[in-house]
Amino acid sequence: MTAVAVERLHNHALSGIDMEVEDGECLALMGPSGAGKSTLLHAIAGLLPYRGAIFFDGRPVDRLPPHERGVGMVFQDLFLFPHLSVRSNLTIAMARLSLGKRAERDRSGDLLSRFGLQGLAGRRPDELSGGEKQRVALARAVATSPRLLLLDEPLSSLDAATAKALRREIRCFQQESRITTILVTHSREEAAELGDRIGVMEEGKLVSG
Amino acid sequence: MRRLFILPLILLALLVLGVVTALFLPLSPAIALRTLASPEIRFALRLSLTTSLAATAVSVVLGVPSGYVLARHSFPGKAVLDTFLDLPLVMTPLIAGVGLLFLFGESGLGGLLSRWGIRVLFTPLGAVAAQVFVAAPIVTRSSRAAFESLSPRYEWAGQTLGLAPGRVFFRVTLPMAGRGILSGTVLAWARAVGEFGGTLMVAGATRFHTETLPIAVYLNITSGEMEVALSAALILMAAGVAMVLLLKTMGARPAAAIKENLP
Repeated sequence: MTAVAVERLHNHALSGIDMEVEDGECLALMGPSGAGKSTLLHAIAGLLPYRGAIFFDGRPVDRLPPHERGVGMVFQDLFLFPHLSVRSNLTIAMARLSLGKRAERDRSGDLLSRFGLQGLAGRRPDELSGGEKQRVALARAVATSPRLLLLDEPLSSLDAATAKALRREIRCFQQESRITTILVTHSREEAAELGDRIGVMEEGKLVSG
Repeated sequence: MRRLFILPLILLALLVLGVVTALFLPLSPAIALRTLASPEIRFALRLSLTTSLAATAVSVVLGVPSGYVLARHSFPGKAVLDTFLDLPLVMTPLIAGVGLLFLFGESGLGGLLSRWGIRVLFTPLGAVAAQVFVAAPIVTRSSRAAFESLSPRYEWAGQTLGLAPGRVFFRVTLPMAGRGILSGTVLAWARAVGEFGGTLMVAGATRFHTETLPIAVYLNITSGEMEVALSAALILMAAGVAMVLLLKTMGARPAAAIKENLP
């Protein structure tokens, strides 16, 4: 179980957040712009300083730097590394697993086929379509088998048809892998389809869920 | 209006052309080839290459981390430090040389270094010191601009992938800022190769000892050996043209890849 209790953030963007996410559950967070949804994800990932306590499986992670928290994150603007190929964008994340070159290649191959990216391994991010970039970002975020997956409006920049197709794929992947997920979205449709539970944030507070 | 603006452009181009022609007109190709192969010019070329490459390497080692800190961190006195680090860019080279002369003199840092058998004044090491003084701020400035042009969120993405900050720097930030840093490094190298005033004060002007190409030009002009002086100038000019061309090639597409990466 992931428990999040953020008393407040240094700039008061969040206050009095108290929530729990069950193992394997997908919590969809909704709310108006500026409600603090993305900020909360950044705090959980350890990217922003906060006052409070965050527990993964009963263990506090507040003192852990972002690279030791075991969190996978898809950012709203993706931030794929433009100087690396699709495959290297995945294997760069595997470096800390010390798998060895062959196992890294096998694992990246599995992820490429899992997310429908076969044949794109050697391409650079600027040679991909919006949907393909989104898939790479998702594959990269789960490449290290994180214990918590954070999705920050992952489909907001896609056209309706691509977003619908990807939504189905994400749901399918989430149900198969049972990876604990927190999703931030503006779309009710997305929240209803992907979330096991929906939480609503307003002015830095969790008002329901 | 257009004609009015084209006239200064033509005048500027003519000025540059006039200077280059005036410099090399007295030098016949046969004499140029002979003097270029002379031991003095070969020594100066070798020393210039060695000292400028060493100075550029030191400048990169000092300038890239400095540029990163200035780009990514806020701390008290940052604006003052930033202005201070730019001083070498606007300082008269001769004055900088006097400062370095005192700094590396026996009563300054030089006294301490001489205990370990390191002599800076009137040695090729002095030329390296003078070149670092002018080249390092260029690397710092260009590195800072290159790092500032990158969203820190690429580094965040790297960290959430389990990469420690050091690994993020070498595998994500540095390669992405590489082109900007490389342009600054080429510019710094060009500045180091052409450094004269500081080198004259710190390393002195001794034939076959501290004789870099600019010092060779100076020594041979003062002793009336115009052909040797112009041959050294010819090499400096050729190096300058090569570096300008290199910079133009490198500056062709700076942040296009980063922009393209957005969904």
